[in-house]
Amino acid sequence: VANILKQIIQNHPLASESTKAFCKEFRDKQRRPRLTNLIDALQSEIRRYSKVFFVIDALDECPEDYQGRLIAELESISSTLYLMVTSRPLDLIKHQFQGACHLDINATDGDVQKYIDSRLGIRRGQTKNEILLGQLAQDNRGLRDSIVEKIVTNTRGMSVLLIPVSDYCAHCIPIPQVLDGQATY
Amino acid sequence: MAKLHIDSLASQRSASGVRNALKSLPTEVNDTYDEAMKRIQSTVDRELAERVLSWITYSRRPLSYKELQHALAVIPQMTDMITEDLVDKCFLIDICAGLVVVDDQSHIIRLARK
Repeated sequence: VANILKQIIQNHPLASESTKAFCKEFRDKQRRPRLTNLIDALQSEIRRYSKVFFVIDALDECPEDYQGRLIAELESISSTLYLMVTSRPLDLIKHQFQGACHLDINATDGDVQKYIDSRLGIRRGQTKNEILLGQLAQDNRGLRDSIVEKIVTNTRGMSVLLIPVSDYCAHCIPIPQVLDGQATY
Repeated sequence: MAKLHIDSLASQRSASGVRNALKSLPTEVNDTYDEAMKRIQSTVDRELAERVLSWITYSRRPLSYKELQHALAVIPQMTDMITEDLVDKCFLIDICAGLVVVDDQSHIIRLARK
């Protein structure tokens, strides 16, 4: 929650004086604010906009105990706050958003293959390790094929769920367009 | 995950090394991260790699790779810094076993994800 507040303030230099004072107070004291303080500050910032959209990327990487609480707290902040979540399709997450509409995003074999090709090819700014692997793969077709096959197989079935938590997101955002060209490997 | 796999293979020095590494690539994401950390800890550059990860994790705001290069070059009691003290950017990425990436546009150095 502190991080979301930080992002809102950092991206918008016109943060309210009260929020700035709030941040300064805790920075000077070298103490972490309590969750309720943070929620209040976030709420007062959000009120300054007619609509605010949050995308919580990779909710599954948040400690399990806090996932549900984070979403519940954010949802309760304001009716002008619209939430969207991405996550690996873990059971806990699926259970939490039971019944919610969602989109399953999979990288196709072709996507993964393209990615591997680009990593094994020659690009600007490659590291020594990358260059060496690219050379090994170039000199040895069989090795290259094995690399592609193994990684394509390993990443198959890995998917990401996109969950519009707020109804507004579910109805108003044309999901396929949002995702166009953003396959996740 | 495909990224971490490639980075894992790229730490090998021979075709047979790559083949062996291919056999033991983890299939779970978390195991892939664990494997990357183990790889870091098994190298002579472990200490420097851990300093890179610490700086990225604990810095108050995201650092550009140049800022990080300077931060790493600082040692107690030093009063002056010359460019020869700076560690090569690609080397920093290599020793972190794929856990760290530099954004092409912003030049921010950050942790890689998935």
